[in-house]
Amino acid sequence: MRQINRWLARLKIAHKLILSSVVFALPIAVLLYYVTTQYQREIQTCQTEIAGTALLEVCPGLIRDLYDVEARASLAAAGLSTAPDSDEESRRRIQNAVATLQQDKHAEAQSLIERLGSLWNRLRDSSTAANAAEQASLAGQMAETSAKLVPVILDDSLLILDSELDTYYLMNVTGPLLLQSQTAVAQARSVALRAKARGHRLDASDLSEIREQCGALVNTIFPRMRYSLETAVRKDKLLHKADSTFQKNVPPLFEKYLAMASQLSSAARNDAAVTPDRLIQMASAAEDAGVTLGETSVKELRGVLSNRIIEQRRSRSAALLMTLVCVGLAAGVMAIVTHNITRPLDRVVSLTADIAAGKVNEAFGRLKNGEFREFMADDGSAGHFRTRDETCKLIRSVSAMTENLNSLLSKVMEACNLVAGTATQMADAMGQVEAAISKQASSTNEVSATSKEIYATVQEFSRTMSSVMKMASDAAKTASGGVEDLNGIRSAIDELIGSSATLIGSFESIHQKTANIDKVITTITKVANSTNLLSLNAAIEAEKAGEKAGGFSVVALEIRRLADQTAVAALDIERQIREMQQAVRDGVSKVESNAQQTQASSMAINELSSGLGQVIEGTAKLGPQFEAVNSGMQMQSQGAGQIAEAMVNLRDAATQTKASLDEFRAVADVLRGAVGDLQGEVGRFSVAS
Amino acid sequence: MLLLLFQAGNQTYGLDTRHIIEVAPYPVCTPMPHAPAYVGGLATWRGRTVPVIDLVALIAGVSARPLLSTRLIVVEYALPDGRSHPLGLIAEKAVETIVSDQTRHEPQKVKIPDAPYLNGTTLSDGRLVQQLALDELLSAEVRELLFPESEAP
Repeated sequence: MRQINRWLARLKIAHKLILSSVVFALPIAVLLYYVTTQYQREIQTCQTEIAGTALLEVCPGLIRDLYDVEARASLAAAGLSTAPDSDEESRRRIQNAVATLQQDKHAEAQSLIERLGSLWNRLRDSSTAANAAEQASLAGQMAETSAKLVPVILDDSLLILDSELDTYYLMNVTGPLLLQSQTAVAQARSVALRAKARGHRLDASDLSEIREQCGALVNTIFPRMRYSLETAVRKDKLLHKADSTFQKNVPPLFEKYLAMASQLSSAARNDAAVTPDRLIQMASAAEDAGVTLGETSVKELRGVLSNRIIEQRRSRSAALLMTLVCVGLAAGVMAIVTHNITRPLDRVVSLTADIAAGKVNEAFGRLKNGEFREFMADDGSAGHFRTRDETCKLIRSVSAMTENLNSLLSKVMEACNLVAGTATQMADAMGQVEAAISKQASSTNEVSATSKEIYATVQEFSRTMSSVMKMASDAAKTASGGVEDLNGIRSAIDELIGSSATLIGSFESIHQKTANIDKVITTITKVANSTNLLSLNAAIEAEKAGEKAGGFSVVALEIRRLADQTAVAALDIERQIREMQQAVRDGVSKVESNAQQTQASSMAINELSSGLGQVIEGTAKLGPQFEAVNSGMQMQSQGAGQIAEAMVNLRDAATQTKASLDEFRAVADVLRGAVGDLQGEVGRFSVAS
Repeated sequence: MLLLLFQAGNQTYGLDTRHIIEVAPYPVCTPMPHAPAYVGGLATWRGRTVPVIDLVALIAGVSARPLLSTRLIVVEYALPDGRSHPLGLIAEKAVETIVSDQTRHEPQKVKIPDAPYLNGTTLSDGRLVQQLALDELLSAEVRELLFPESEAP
């Protein structure tokens, strides 16, 4: 299924429509074939039947003539009749009938016809009075054979199987019933002939036999014939509805035949004194009427069949013609429909392809040039040309869409340009505003910082002023008390200076004494060193002297040990002396520096004492002035603080404004980017201005 | 055997007293220009001029400090050609002698090319004393410098 769909998808719509037309035409063709075949078969059947009727036509006359010949031959055999001249006419008609029959080619009838031919040859050859009995027998056999031949012919010619009702009933009349009636009439005439040959009188058995034959004829055969004939006429009227020659000709002949037969029957039954000649004459007339009826019926049957063939042929032609015309009409309609569908579709496809490729202006130009005018409502009056065709609707929608798209794209492009220009201007303006705000912010920052500094400085200054004022007042108080104390301190310092001089003197004497001790110790150390040196040399010499100087070496060792101890003790004393000297030196330097500081303090106290007096006086004057300055400072400080706060607020506002501007610029950038994208997208389409 | 002990760079060394003529106080030395650093110069000893070797400089690489215990050791230096000449050695802390037991003397096992004068060790009173070989004290160049052959006695 999917493969079929895939294969179908490769075809164009026109090809698909042609394909479906072909698919629909196929069963019609098959149907047409069967219909024509059926018609052909019917025509063939009718032709066969017509051929059969040609044989059937001769049969009633043949049977009548054969019975005639038989009767005359029987009379001749009995020696009663001597009129062979009447025989000649019958024999000539038999000759013609047999020749007609022998032209037939039916397989089943062939043996009977051959037999008929051979019998006829024998009969014709033995046409002498001597063998009249044999002639009668031959004629009888031929009559029987002919009677057998009729059903076979009917069978072979498919007349029995005919489905058409009028011909069926007509055939029934023409074939078996007429055969029976003719046989009955012929036998009645034979009886009359034999009676005439015996002596011109009809006895009771003859009459009863004739009555029997006539009774069967009138009571059994004729009602059936009448019924069949009436039915045939009724059906013929029903089928053909026209006053055909059959309807006009056959019933009167039948009535005549019936009248003749009835006359014969009533004569045989009612008139006991009827003569054989009279009966023979009546029977012959009835037979002739029967033959006429048979021949006319067969003719009419043939005519009906011929008409049927003509009708069949006409119907066949009509069916063929109508089918072909219908198919052709359908093909034409299909072609027109296909053309109507595919032509605008192709154009719409090319138009939409243009639009898809972005060539909107070309598509719009094609629309303006009236390429689709035939599908549009003419002159743009929408209500005038109403259509239910989807293609037209599609084209209208596409054209409307194209126009809308064109105008939309034009508007979008204009809007894009406008927005882009505006965005650029906005960005420029924003840049200027931002620069201004930045400047303002920096100025504000500077002012703020400056005012903060002022504030801080003023605060600091104010604090300093306050503390100075406080200190000044304190100092004034302290100074007044301190002047008295200073005098006491000065006298104490003077005493301290005196005692320091004494202390330095004593330290000097200690230093000198320790210097003396140091000299002594140096001397001791040198002695110890020399002693050690001496003892070493002594030991070396003693070693060189060997064992003899053993005691000397011991003495040298002891001396060296003594010298060493001395040196150690001297070293200890020296160290202590040096420490003491260092301590004395430190003490002297400290005392000296103390004395100097004390003297400086003394001088400073003097200066301070005199200065304090001035300070006390100045401080007393300073107090109120400080107050005034301080209050002014406080106010300035507050003002600076307020300025700083205001500046901070201003800066915050500027920062917020800048942030807002940043956001705004970001939004504007986004907008510009979006517009750029949009322009790029729209720029794909070329638009008719 | 009697050893005169001295110190160089915190290490105690011993010198056989058999070659020592005298131990004298630290002298005033006249330096010899362009001589190796351990050559102290020339000193006057008992009216004679003797070349002086600074043992501290030779062994430890630092000049001897002028302390009371820094002394001049005058030895009889035997030259290879059979001559002998007094030679002054300056050493720090040369204030003690010890008697060295020969059985406790350990001969030198490792010969150091830059210090051929080391001649085994002796353990004395828990101290390890390195003994000096006087013959190996001077290299051939220094010996030639200090005792030229032309100056024969």
